[in-house]
Amino acid sequence: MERWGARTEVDRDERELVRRCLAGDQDACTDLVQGYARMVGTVIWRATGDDGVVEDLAQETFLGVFRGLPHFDARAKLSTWIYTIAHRVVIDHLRKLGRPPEEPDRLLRDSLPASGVIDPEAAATREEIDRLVRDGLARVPEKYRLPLVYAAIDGLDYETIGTMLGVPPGTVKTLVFRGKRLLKDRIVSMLAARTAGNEVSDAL
Amino acid sequence: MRCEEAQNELAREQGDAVVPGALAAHLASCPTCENVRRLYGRIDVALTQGAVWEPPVEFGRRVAARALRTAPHRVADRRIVSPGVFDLVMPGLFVAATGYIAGVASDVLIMDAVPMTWLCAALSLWVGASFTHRVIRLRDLLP
Repeated sequence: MERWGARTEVDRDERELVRRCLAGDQDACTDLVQGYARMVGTVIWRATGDDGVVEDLAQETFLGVFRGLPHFDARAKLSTWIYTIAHRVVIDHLRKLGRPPEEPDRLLRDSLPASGVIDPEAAATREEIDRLVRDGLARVPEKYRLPLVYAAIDGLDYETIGTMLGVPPGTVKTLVFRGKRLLKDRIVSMLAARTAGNEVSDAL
Repeated sequence: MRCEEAQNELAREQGDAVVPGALAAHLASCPTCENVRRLYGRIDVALTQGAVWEPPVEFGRRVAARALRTAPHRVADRRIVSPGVFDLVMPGLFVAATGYIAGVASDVLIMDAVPMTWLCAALSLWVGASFTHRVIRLRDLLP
């Protein structure tokens, strides 16, 4: 009950903020941007992996938000709607970069066999694993990569991500699972390449 | 439990989740799958501890100012009258005008054309404003 009451309060605050923005209140517009900028920027950064474009794309997102605000459905959650616009801005940006699409099905079929996985703690330091995760993510197809990175952001649940991607929450779960498997395969192959020439058992 | 099943289970687990019994038993006897579990754990940590963007000072004010500068018509548009009210009033006004013309305008037209002129002017203005309003709304919906 208290949870419901709290949500209603948030809804009322959101509606009031939207109303003031539509009335041209610059302070309200500033509040709206400041309230969501951190999350929008984080979504963009994680999705693009490029901190150099975050500010521009975040700005583009909020300009899109203000353009679309007269048509915002008050029954929807403002945060989810804003993150959805951020996701579309990211997609447009990635399309402009013209990253060649990979064939996800082929990639999944080509998953590495279960044997021969090197102990990550023996093979790489934490910083190296972080770098391998970054490099590995760049090789995971967008279809799986974006749900995977969004799911790792604190504050984005499967339902919100589903709305952003236009798929049901169950599909998000599947995409995250497949993305994680692909990422693991990428990292395993990179770790294996590092220890090329050695027997796997030597590294374990 | 086979290695493939175990590794699929591991891909579904979150980093700090409790490992189910059958999976735990398999991991205890399979160093390869145990390595995969550790790797997934490291991946989860790396992903969740990824970069968090901090907006620069004045980012909010700058973006808000730009948004209001580039879209003043939308704000003014909302302030004057909402589209719902506009759409409701238009048919009502036409009905009232038709009734007025049918009922009394014939006499008025003969005796005094001034009220009729004002009525026509008001209707023309309203129709013009309505079309402009719709064009603005349509432009908002276009990319």
